[in-house]
Parts: sequence; C-alpha cells; structure tokens
Amino acid sequence: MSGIECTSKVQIQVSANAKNAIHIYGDSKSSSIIIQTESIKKIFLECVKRGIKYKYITEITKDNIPYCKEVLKIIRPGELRHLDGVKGNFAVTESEYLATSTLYDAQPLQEVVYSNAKQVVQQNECLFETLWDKSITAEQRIKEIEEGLESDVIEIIRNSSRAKKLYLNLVNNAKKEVMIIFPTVNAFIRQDKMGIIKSLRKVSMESNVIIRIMMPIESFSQNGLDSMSYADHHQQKEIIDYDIRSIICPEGIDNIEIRNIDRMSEAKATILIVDRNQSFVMELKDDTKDTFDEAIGLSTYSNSISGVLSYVAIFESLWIETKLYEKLMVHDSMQKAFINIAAHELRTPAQAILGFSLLLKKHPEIKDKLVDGIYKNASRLQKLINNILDVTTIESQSLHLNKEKFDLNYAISDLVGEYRHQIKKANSRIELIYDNNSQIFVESDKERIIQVISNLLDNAIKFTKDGGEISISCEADIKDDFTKHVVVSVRDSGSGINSEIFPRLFTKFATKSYQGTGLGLFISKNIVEEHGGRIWAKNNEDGNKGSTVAFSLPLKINSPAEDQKYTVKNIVGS
Amino acid sequence: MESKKVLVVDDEPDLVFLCKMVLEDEGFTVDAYTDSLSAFSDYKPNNYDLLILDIKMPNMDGFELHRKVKELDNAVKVCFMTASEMYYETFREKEHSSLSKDLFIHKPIENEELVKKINKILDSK
Repeated sequence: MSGIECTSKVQIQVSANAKNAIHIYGDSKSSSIIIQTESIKKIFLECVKRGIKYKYITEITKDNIPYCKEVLKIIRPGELRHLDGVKGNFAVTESEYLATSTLYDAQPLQEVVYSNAKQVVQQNECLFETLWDKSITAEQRIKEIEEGLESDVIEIIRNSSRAKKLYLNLVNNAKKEVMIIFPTVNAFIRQDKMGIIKSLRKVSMESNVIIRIMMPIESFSQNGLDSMSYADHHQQKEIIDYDIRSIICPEGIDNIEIRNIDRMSEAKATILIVDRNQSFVMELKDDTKDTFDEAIGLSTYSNSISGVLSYVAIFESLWIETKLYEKLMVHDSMQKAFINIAAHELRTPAQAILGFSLLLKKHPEIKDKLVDGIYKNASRLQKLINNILDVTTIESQSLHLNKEKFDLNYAISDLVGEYRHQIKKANSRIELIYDNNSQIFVESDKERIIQVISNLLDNAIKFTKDGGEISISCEADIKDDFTKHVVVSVRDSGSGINSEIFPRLFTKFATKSYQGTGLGLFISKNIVEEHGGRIWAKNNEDGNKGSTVAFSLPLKINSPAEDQKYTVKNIVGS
Repeated sequence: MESKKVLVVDDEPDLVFLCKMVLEDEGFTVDAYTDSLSAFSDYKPNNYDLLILDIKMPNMDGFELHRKVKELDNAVKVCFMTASEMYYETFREKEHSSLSKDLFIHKPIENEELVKKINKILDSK
C-alpha cells in the first residue's frame, strides 16, 4: 500500500482491530515518532485504554532514552524491551501484520506492507517471539546506559592526533579517580608538554579527582631528551630527580600521589585508567622522539568493564609493590647511614685507644694523660655500643621497663652533681642550674629516665659554649584528676636546633654535628613514650639563643592531700 | 738530614695529639690543628713536606682544605686520614679519582704502621 492517507488509515485500522495484543518491532527512531506525532500517540493511548497489551522491541540508545521512557509510561502495563541493532519496523496483532522499512522523524508513512493472511501473521508473530526472547528489559537497558555501562567499546586508534585528543578529553572529564603509568621519563615529559599534567592538576583541584601516578622517577636525571629545555618549560634552572614531585603537585595539592617504579625497562605503553570504567593504553613506538605524535604508536581505548578492571587490578598491585619498595629503599639508606655514622664513631675512639696504649710504653712521663685519654675514649665507645644496643632493642620492640617508685628530684640532683663535677674537671665554665627541693615521686624505670636526662644534658653541653648556662627544671603539671604529669626540661644557651634537623629531630641519625650518632634523642623519645609520656623541643624565643628540650611522665597521685605536695613550683634558672 | 715538616689537621684533639707524638718520636717536625679554618688561615706555602688531613671536619672538611691549600701551594704532598667510608668514597669518586689509593690512611691504624705509610708517601714521587 502507498499514499499517506492510505497508510495512516491502515495503521488506525490495525490498531482498532486488535483485540488483546499488539506486538511492535521498531528501530531506534520509532519511539521518538510515537511521542512526537500526536495522532500516533493518541492511537496508543486509546488501545491501552481498551485493555490492549503492548509488547514493543526497540533499540534503546543514549539519545532516545527520554522517548523510550515516555513510551514505557504510555504502554503500561505493556512491556518495552531492548535489542541491539534493530532495523526496519513491523507490527503484529492476532489477525494482522503491518511493516515498513524506513522511518523519518515525525513524518507520516509513505509506504507500508499489510497482510491479514493467517500464515503471514503467524510467521511474523513467531519471528517476533524469537526476537522478544533475545531482548532485555527496557529498565535494565536504561540503567546500564545511565550508569555508564553502555555496551562495551574497544577501539584501536591509529591516528596519533586523535589519540592525543581522546587522551586529554578522558583526563579532563574524570569524575573521581585517575590512574596513570608512565613507562619512561621521556613519555612523561612529552605528555606533560602536551598539557596532561596541567589537566590532571585542574581536575584534582576543581573536581577533587584523586590522581595516582607511577613512573620511573629515579632515572629522571639520565633521560635522553633535552632536559634543559624541559626545565625551561617549567621555569626551573635544572630538573633533578626529586623535583618531579613538585612539578606534578606543587604545594597545596594533596590528592595527587606519585610513586616510583624503576623496573620498567620492558614497559612500552602509557596506561591511563579513568574512574575505573575507561582505560586508554598508548603504545610507545619511539621513545627518543620529542613529541607525542611522533613517539606514539597504536592506542587502545576500552570501556569494557572486565578489561578496565583488569588494568585497575594490575595498577593496584604495582601500587602496593612500589610502597613496599619505597619502604625498602628508606630502610636501605637508613642502614647505610647507620653503618657510615657508626663506623666513624667507632673508629675514632678506637684509633685513640690503640695509639695511646702504644705510646704508654714509650712515654711513661705522660702516663696519666694517656690513661685518661684511653679511659675517655673507651667510655665514648661504651656509650656508642649501648646506644646501638638500645636502638636494636627499640626496633625489635623489646624495650622493657623495670619500674620502681623513686624521687625524681633527688635523682636529678644527684645527676646534676655528677655533671657539675665533670664540667669542672674538663675546665669548662658552663653553669648548670638546678634548684629544687620538693620531692616528686614517679613510678618509672629509674635507669632509663636518668639515661634520657643524661642525653638531654649531653646534647646541651655539646652545643653550649664556654661561659654559657644550662638550666634544668622539674615541675608537676596537674590540670585535673586525669591529667597529671611531671615535666622535666633542659634549657641551654647554645646554638639552637638546626632548622634542617628540626623536623626529624627525634628520628634516627638526626645529626648535623661532627661528633655523635644522632641516636640519643631517638632513644630518649622511645623511652619516654614507653612510659606513656611525651618529648618535645623548641628553640628559645626570648631573645636568648639556645633551645629547650622537655619531656613529660605520667604522675601517680594517691590522695588529694598528696596533690598539694606535688604542685610546689620550682625556681628555674636565675 | 733536615727533619721533615708535617702539618696535621683533625678535629679530634686526641687524634691530633697522638699523631703529633708519634711523628715527633720519629724525628718529624709537626704543626697540629684541630680547626681546619685556622689551619688554612695560618698556612704558609712551601713550608711543609706533607699535609695529613682528616676528611670529616666541621666548618671546612678535608677535601675543601685540600683544594684551597693546593691553590696556594701546588707542590705540597697531601694525604688523608679518614674514619668515614662514605666521605672517602664520595671524595674519590666525584673529585679526586686521580688520587692514588695509597694517599688514604684508614683509621684505626697502629702507630708504626702510620709512620711506615707516611714515609712511603714522602718517598714517592
């Protein structure tokens, strides 16, 4: 049949003749035509009103979702289903068959095929049922599209400028998370030059996207490209290994993390994963080239969930590995620092002891001086050995305290007496001030606490010049029943704490001095914390140079009456 | 024979004292400093046969002192005494790979051994 009048008439007729069901198979345009053509929409509404049950198969796409939702509403309780690649259109009722090939937006049909022959109707009904069984519900399909699970796309891109566009587009449209692996430093440089890093920073700042990057950082200084021009690109004089982190994430951006992978010699592709639902793998063709266009080979885009999640899994396991590796490297460099510092500190006194002992035979006239020297250096060795053993104990988490109740004030007075004697003996004019008479009982490991205070005093003496002064205070700090502490502080008038050392003052090997291992404060911190106390340091603010290092210990108080006794203030300094 | 003149610089007073005693016993004339800055400011060219420098020192380390002294006195022989492997390695690798290993004396060393080494360095060309 042909002719507009005729075709619309036959449509109306077929619908009107239907008694129970109308089955429609229509391409992706069909839903919009129904909704946008008032006359057709009316036919549907009337049929549903008459109790006709619709079964409708169409191809639901991103673009026709709104129309399909409308259709779904109109034909309820009839059903709408989705099938990929629907072509052509036909409708079947109990007694009639109607078909057309092409549909145009909101245009009446020009030509239709009509039949009421039983065999034709049955044949097409059978075809419809087969297609119906293959289709999925509209609800499921709409959900998939809306959640971005639209049918998997795996695309191979050969054109590098298209790859570049897609790459930037993917990064710029990231919503939650970006993961990138740069196979080489050159790849990173090329991609930074084309604006990838800028885009990453932008999405991380504006959309709070979390960004994780893995790349070989350590080989940065040995890259083949002209690193000077790259340095220029970032207005820096020179690009060195660790600047890479500051290039990618300058201060103030904390959701970009970069880790080093250095065993990437075999890797030849940049791997980008966006929001865990899209991946883009750019194969490296020639790493020596300056631009992305020249260096890149094939690229593969995928939004296949299983494919993308596999990349995510690979990324995550590498990510964990890099963390372990970084830890290992830190551990390794700590070991090296330890061996180096310990070696110097062991050899120096060993040299003195060895040499002095040999001199003793030849020079009995300076026996006393030599013996003193031997003793002094042997003590230095002993101290170092104890420190090394303490660090080992702390690191193997086997620092045990032998707690006892003792008067901290008395113990400090005793120690100060010893130190004054030593200072005098060394002909030094450092004044050691401690003025405290009240008893302060603590339940602690006396030997360990004395060790901590000795450490603080040794440091103070080491950095205080002749004529300077060191004052010790020991005060109870009682705020309420729950916060009772005694605070011991050692204040010196020395050179103050070096700002480079300050942030890692209480870590191992924190030393700038040419004598000492930098273990004392690390050990002290661990002893204090094992007691439930805290240790801290500051440079003195009040014009006087020097620093104060203090620590607290929890105070045991039994009765309120006793409290009074502990709150007596000490006179500090003079 | 005129006695050889040696300059010893080490920040450890005990080691300076030791080195001075040992070498004086062997007939050397020894000037000793525990501070590399004063050692340099007092330095007189063409005055010493050998400089014995510690490497790891505050203010100015042995490498720096060596470099500065060489500008004033290119002919003087220099050897190093070191207790620090790392310092020693860095120095040799980066700046002075041409220096013979024999010029580095590792602490601790026995007195006689020290004298032997120093004589050997003085005898070398």
